[in-house]
Amino acid sequence: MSDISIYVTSNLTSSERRISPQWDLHYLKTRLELITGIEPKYQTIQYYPIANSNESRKIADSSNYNEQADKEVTVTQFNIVPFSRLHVIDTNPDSELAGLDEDNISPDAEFKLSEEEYAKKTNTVLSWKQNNKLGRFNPEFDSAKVKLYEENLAIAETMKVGQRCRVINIGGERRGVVKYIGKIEVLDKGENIWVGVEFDEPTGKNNGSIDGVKIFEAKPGHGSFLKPKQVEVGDFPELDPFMSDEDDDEL
Amino acid sequence: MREVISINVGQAGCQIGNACWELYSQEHGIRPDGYLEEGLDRPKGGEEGFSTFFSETGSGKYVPRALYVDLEPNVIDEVRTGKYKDLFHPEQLIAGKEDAANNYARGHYTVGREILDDVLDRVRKMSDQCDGLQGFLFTHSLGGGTGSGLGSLLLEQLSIDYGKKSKLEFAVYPAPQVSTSVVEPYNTVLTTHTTLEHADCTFMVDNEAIYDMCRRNLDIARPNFDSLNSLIAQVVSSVTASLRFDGSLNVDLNEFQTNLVPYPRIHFPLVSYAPVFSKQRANHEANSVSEITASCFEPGNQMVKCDPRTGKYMATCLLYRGDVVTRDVQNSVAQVKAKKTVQLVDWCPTGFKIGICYQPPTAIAGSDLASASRAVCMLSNTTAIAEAWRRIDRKFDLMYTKRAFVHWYVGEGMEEGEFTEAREDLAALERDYIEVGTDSFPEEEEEY
Repeated sequence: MSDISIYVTSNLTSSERRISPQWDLHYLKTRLELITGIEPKYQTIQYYPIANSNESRKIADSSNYNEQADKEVTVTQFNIVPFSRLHVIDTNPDSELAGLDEDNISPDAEFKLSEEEYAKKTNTVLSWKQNNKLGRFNPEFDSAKVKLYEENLAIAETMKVGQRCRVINIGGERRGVVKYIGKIEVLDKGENIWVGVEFDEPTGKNNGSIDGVKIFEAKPGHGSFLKPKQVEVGDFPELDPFMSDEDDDEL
Repeated sequence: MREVISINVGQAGCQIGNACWELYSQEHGIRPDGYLEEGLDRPKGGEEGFSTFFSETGSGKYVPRALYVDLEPNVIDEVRTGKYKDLFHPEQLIAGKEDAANNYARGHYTVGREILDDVLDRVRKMSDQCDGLQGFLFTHSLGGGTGSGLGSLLLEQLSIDYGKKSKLEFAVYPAPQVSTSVVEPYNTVLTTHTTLEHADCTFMVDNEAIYDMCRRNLDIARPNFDSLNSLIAQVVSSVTASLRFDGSLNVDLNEFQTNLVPYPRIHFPLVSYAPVFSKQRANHEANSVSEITASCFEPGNQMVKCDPRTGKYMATCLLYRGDVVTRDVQNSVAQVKAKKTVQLVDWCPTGFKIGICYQPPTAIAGSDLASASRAVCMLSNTTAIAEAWRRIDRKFDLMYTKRAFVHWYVGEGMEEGEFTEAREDLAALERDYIEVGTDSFPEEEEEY
């Protein structure tokens, strides 16, 4: 007789396995121990002929465990059908499995590799970046970052709150009013200059607030924060949303 | 010739191997007995590519360049007696008598060692038949005993014996929610540590992700290994198609590494595949080049559960097959880039590499997957996959802090220090991914 595929489940595990009907019950239990971590003498096994139904019967009960008796029972006797399920219950009060089902691991149980220990290792991405002067180890990295900041700052200085503006990107053109210009602590710890825009249509991301902190006043869904380079100020009156778009090449 | 030897290790590895070789055979017009299908005078898709994966015997019979290795006999016995029994030479199927009992230490040290010389002998024989061996393609699982223990032992040995030959892996990775065995986190961390410097590129597949795909897209109520493996085989086939069919762009095994791996340790690209839908839905699903490309960026089409929107991309390969024209591909890639769902690492060169193979995917008779005129497999090296390492590392810690089941390993002669050493290496790997994701210039098109 060939192997049959069944599902084996326990409190901590679930898997598709192959068992042989010729096995005796004791051997089955030793196999189940390797999967579930439950010792044979503490195994109570529930058999579910249909894997995902609740109908089941007990094929082994740890309260009357007897290794010798188990060796005289063959798995064939249980009439186990393909793709049925064996559920193994752990009745050991001092089980090695205790506490392994916790979702949250206590912080001191977690393995920690400190910055210093990581920095000491030689075969790491950090050492590679250092050796090849990549990223922040590139002498030009900081100056490029500063240059970008200055470009944005220069543009921001030409803008005034209350000016009409437009934003063009892959989503198309959106028009609105500049409502805020400056740094925003809650957004990026004040690292960049941002432009707060209230769009004419609800095509923004918020109502002018970030994480509950109000930066400017906008109708819900009309407000957004963008980099100065993205925003163009000028004579951009409100668009008629029902005016057909000439560039629309839909059929 | 540029031959590739496939090595399937352990139950999962061998069963995925079965699904792959069944599919490869059909794609190239080879019957289960190894001879060409009626009406063909040569294998489909050109002989040169074909010969990387199959060798020809004098009598016009074709034999896969594959090795099956398992520590227990049953799975391999099924190959010996199954539909494809005549496809393989008995020497290609190696089985021991006693299994690894879900224990890395048994697969790597005690039971695995006994079979090692035998396996290396067979690999040597197969490589001697090659004119210009490119490298090896491993399929194994990381959570069990044989695939993780013996699999990593073989990878180590092949590094010694074959030096710089490429070694790619398809690895079944533990599912995020439920473990298949209580010691799965140990096996996974131990094998990952051992193979980290020996594998050039590892494509991971988590059973839960595939399981969900089978249920959601293929309407299989209760998927089993056969359903999972036939889907995995389609993915493996897409990845290897460019090696097997003439006239494709990516033709070398080491190109996966060249294109995807900026630094050797960061070699775990995320794999996505589209389209995946059942025959019933086939007429209602969209399947244009741009639609299947966009689908690859949906978490539901990924082989590992993680959220790529939280990560940064180092490199992306899009491997198309079937009825695809370059212009459509270029447009689709432009659309994806424009949508800004893809954040690139900007301190090292990144890119989109495109591969096109004009052979459409083949649907296996009786499979739930509908046949499609085109498909795409996306390989992307994203920092998002580090989520998978974090999950397994936490599970490892939860057990190891109580030293639960460590005695199973020590009992096989393993030193406890190997646990800490492996865990530390994985902690460094997590850091490596964080380090990849830092030092970015502020995004210009950010909007909050």
